[in-house]
Amino acid sequence: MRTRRRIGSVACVALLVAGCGASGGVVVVDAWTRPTPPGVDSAAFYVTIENRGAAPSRYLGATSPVCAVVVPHLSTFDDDVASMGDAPSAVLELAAGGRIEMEPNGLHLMCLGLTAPLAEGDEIAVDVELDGADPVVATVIVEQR
Amino acid sequence: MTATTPPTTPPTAPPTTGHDARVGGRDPRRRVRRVGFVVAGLVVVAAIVWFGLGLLRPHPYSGTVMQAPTAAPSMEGLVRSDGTPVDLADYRGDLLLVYFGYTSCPDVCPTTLAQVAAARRQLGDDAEDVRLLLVSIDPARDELDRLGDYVRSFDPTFEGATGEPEAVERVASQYGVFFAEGEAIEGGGYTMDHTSTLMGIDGDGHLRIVWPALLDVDRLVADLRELS
Repeated sequence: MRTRRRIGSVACVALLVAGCGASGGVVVVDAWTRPTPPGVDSAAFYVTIENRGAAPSRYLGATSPVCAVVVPHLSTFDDDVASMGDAPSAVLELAAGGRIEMEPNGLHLMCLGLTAPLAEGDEIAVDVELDGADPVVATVIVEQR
Repeated sequence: MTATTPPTTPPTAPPTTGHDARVGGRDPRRRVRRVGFVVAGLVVVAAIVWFGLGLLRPHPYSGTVMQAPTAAPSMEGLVRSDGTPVDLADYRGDLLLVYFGYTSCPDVCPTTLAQVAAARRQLGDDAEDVRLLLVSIDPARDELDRLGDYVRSFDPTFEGATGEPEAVERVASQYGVFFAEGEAIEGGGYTMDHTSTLMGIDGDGHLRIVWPALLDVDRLVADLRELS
C-alpha cells in the first residue's frame, strides 16, 4: 500500500512535470483508473486537473484512443441510493488556482466503448480540452487503489 | 518544575525560620526527584485506567448495528454464478457481506467491491470466514457467467447471484434495497440507481449490520475483526 502510494506520488510528480511543459498553467496532478473486470467495456477515469495559471479555464471535453466516448459523470448519493449522471457544468469550471478533483464515488470521466480491457500497469493517454488553454494529455495509470 | 523550586538560600542570609531553610535549602534535587516519582506514578495509573476503559468501551462501528438482530430474509429464487440456488444456510459460521449492485456500474460498485477486497487482504488469515455476495439488480444484462467473472476479478472468494426480475425485486425489497433504471448513457446503455449499502449477516444467519454507502476501509476492517 505504502509502496503503491509512493509509486503514485512519483507518477504524480512525473505527470506534473509533463503537464507543466505541455500547457499554459493547467496541469494534470493525478490520473488513474482501476483494471476493468472481465466483460466490462466501460471505465471510470479519475483525473484531477489544477489551474496554475492566472486566467480561469473550464473543462471542455476529452478523448482517448481506447474509448469510443469520454463523458464527465458524477455519482451522487441520496439516502444511500447511488445515482450516476452527466456532471453539471459548475463542477467542470477551473478558476485561477482552482481544481477539478475526481475520485471514486464522485466526479469521474466515463470511458465508454473500451476497445480493449485495461490491465494493471497499463497507461492510457487522455487528451483533455480546456477553455482558453492548451489541451493537456493525462496519462491515466491503471492500478488497483 | 525548576521555576517553582526555591533558590538556594545564600550562605550569608540568615534563615527566616529554621524549618523552611532545611526543606527548601538542604536538598532541592531530592524534592525534584520525589515530584518526578509522583508524576511517573500518575502516568502509569492513567495508562492503566485508559487501557481498562478501552477494553470496556464498545467498539465504535462505522455501520448501523441491529440491536435486536433478526434472521436475514431468505434469498430464495436467486441463483449463484455457479448455477446453485442461494441458500443462506451455506454461510452459517461465516460473516456474509451482501451488496446489491450490477456489473455495468463503473464507479460506485467497483469502488465498494475493491474496498471489501482490500479489507479482506488487510484481515489476512481472519478474512477466511468473511464472504461477499453481490446480488445483481440488473438481471437483464448480468448473466451468471459474466457476474461470476466480474466478482472474482476483485477477490477470488467473491460470489455473485441474480435471478428472475420478480425474485430480485422481492429479495431487494426485503433487504430494504431500492433500485430503478437510471439515466440513459450517451452511446447506448443505461445506469441503475440503487441503494449502495453493504450488509453483514452473522454466523447465526442474523442480519447484524448495515454500512452506509461510502465505506472507509480501515474502519470496515476494524468492524469485520469485531464481528467475525
